[in-house]
Parts: sequence; C-alpha cells; structure tokens
Amino acid sequence: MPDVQHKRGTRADLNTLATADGLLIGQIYVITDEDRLAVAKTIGTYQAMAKEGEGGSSVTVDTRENILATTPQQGALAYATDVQRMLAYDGGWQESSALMMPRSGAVDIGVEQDSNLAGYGVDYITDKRLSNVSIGSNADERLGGVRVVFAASLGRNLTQVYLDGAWQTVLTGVNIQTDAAEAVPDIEFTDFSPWVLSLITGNSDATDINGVPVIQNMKIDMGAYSAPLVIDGGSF
Amino acid sequence: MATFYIAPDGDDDNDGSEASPWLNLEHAINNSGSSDTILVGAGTTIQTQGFDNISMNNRTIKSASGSRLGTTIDFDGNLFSRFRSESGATISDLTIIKTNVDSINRGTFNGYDGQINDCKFADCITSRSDSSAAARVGFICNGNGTSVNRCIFENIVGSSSNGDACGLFAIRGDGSYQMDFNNCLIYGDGTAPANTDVPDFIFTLRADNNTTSAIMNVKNCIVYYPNGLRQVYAQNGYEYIQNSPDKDLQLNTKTSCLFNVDYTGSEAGVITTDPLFVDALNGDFRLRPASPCIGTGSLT
Repeated sequence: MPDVQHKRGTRADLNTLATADGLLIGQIYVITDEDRLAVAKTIGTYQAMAKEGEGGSSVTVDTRENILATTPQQGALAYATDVQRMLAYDGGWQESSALMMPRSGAVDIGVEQDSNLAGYGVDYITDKRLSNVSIGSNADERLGGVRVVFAASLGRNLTQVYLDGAWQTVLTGVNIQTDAAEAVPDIEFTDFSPWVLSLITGNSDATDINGVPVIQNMKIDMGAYSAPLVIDGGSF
Repeated sequence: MATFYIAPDGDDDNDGSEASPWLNLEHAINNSGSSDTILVGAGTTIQTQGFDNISMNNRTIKSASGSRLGTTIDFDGNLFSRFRSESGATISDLTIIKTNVDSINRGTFNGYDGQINDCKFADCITSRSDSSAAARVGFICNGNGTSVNRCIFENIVGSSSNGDACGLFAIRGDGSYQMDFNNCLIYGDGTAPANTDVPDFIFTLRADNNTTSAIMNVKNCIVYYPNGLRQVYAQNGYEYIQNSPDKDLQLNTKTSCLFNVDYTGSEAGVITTDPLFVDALNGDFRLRPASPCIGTGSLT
C-alpha cells in the first residue's frame, strides 16, 4: 500500500490558513486535534467531514415535556415515552399523530399477521369512537352498509342499512317499545304522551276508574267510565 | 422439472403451456411428471372433470400470481375430487372451493403427506355415506408428515355416518403418523354436516391395532364457530380419540384460539375467548387491536 500524506494541523492552524486565504482549492487537510478530514472549497473556506459514528444521530427517548424543552439540530428525532409518539424537529417540534405500540417478540395466532394495534386506517376503522360525523350516500352494497338517501317518491330522507342483499329502510320518527310486564307481552307506541298505546289492540295502558282502557281500538269515550268494547263473560 | 399451466379459458386439448393452458387439474396431473410444477392462472378455473385419488408425487401446484387472492379452482360441487400425495407434493397460494367427496374411507386430501401453504378452502364436503366398513374420513386424512401452514378452512364439512374417525382433519394411525397445523384459521357458519348422525369433529385421531402413534400438532391456529349451531365438539371436547387405551395418540394444541368450542383441556397458551376479528361477517379476519391473539403465538 503506497504512502500518501496530506497536509495536517490543528483546527486553529487550519482556521489561520483560511483567514489568510492560504487554502488550496480541493486540497484535503487532516485536522489533527479532531482526527477528521477537511476539504478546501475556496482559498478562504473549507468543509470539515464527519467521522465514523457521526453520520446520524440517535433518537432521543424522553417524556414529551422534556423533549419539547430542548432545541436540537434540524432534523432531530425523538420518541416521547409518556404519549407513545414520535417527534421531529424542523425549527419547532412536530408530533406524529400515530401511536407507537409495544409488540412482543412472538407471532400472532391465526392466519393474518398484519395486526395494527392502533386500529385499521386503510380500509377499516376499528376500535375507535366517532364524534361529530354524519352519514351520507353509500355506493358500496356490502352487508352492514349504512346510508342516508332522499326518497323523491316520499319527499323525505331515509336511513337505510344493507341487509340480505338489499337496502332496508330503518324506521325513524316513531318510538316503539316492548312491554313484557303485561300478562301478554305487548308492543307499544310511546309517541303520544301521556298515552302508551298497544300496537296490537289499540288500547292504552292507562285505565279508567272502572278498569277499562281509556283508549280502546284507538278510540276514546267521553266521561269517566269507558264502555268496554269486548264483552267478556255473561250472555246475551 | 417442467412447468405447465391451467387457466379459466384453458382447454385439455392444448399443450399446457402458458400461452395454451389446460383446463382441468386432473388432466394436468396426468400429463405432468413427478417434480413438475403446475401453475394456475388468475380467475376462477371451473373444473369439468373430477379425479379420484390421483397421486401428485412431488408436484407443485400453485397460483401463477403467487397469491390465493384472485386465483380459484372451483370443483363445482358435483365432481369427485380427491388429492393424494405419496412423496411430498406442495399446494400453495390457491383458493380451492366446492370439492365433494363421498368416500368409502379416507378423504379429500387422502394420504396427503406434503405441504399445503397459504391456501383457502371453502364450501367443501368430505362425507362417507357407506357405513359398512371402518372409516377414517377427513378433509385432510391419514397424511403422515403433512404440514398445513397459514391456510383458511371456511365451511368445510368432514363427516361419517358411523362415527369412525371422522372429522375435518383425521388420522387413523396405521403407523407413526403426524400432521402439523400452523397459523391456520378454521371457521364455519354453523351449517349442519351432511350424511352424518354423529358430531363432526375438527381434529380426529383413531388408533388401530397396529398403530404405534399418531400425533396432530396444532399451533397458532384459530378455530372459530361463532354461531355455535353445529355440534362440532359435543361429545369428547374438541378431540375425538377412539380405541386408544394402549396407543400413543396425541393432540397438541399449542397457543391456539378455540372459540365457541366445548374445550375442557388446560393446555398452556390455549385461548377460548373471542379472537376479535376486524369483520368476520365480511371475511376480514385480521385481528382487532384488543385481540387476545396478538403477539401470543409461539415461535417454536
């Protein structure tokens, strides 16, 4: 291996030479007190080179508060352990919205091995809560699809769910309840306060002082004693 | 080692090249040699003829694209379709649907001793309506050294009318048989098995007099029957071991998830809670963030 020696000196020596416009453009210098090379760019300036191990910086690992209190070099990266997020410095700290999640060294059980612990974002959202959202149209005729459409024939909007191969309209604007407490379990309207009306008989739950439903078959009598529409017992 | 092709628009009168593919897998197997490769073109290749117990010795059958998605072999449900491997055939990266075997014994992958990797099987029936002889019926049956990796089994029925060693995966040990299942998903919608008056089991081991041992290793798998309508595990739990008082029959379920299973064992790493798929109803079996299956599989 042939011997090649470059010009050498301390950083102070090189600076003195540069100040005196004494550098040779393209010349390599060895900065002896730093064990690094430098290249003269002009007769008065040079570029010092990084040494082994200086090619990149390690990621700072600390709490977010401590990281935000620092002013690192441009492009510095940090991991905030308390909020499990990455941050990058570009004159100010920028924080990623994606969570870093711990993974064990073991594989997942099952076929799929691409589990996303923060929830799926490409074609699924799972294990997330939605607030301040609205449902619009939906061209994807897939089981469980939901849409809101305008039905011109009805002149109003409908909420629909895709079930059993077709869009099924969800009943809205009507409140119905089941009542298992009655002798025969009932299905009841609750929209006509104070009345609770049976969808089956048209009778109200409320009764007159004679024990007869105040509303019978969706009709109501005058007076305090409703006439029973159904004759139970006795004979003509 | 030659390479031949079958494809949806193929014809068995062609020469089996990529430009002129065959149609039927049976024709491709009969016209290829041991260690040859049969590539399946994209789309759904509907078979017009079945095949019975054709040996696939050392052949490799796989999708030309390298993915089971978009590459399907459809056996049409009415065709007899029984695979056999005697020296290590490999099937990989395919979707295979609607196989139908009503067998005197054995099963759809009969005596299969090769590898089945990254495939999906759906809507297949392996049954045995003739109960006159001892049976060992299973979708994958009696394969020694069979290794099944990362496969999906959807609505597969394996059943027998007299209850002998029937199941989706069955061994009647005529020797030191072993099957391995790694990272597989086995699930169904609760459809009752056909031609059976006994429960349809998932893993079945049966010993005969000359059996020395039979082992099934089930690792990192999910068995998922959310509807619970099928009495898959009604009698002896999920394992059905018959005639084995002095035989070495082992069903090792290691780090697997058995959901809706009548499981009474206590093997380490076995989970019996819901695996929490993203959307099983629509076929998305990725694991949700809270799934107990994430990171709990075994590496060894």
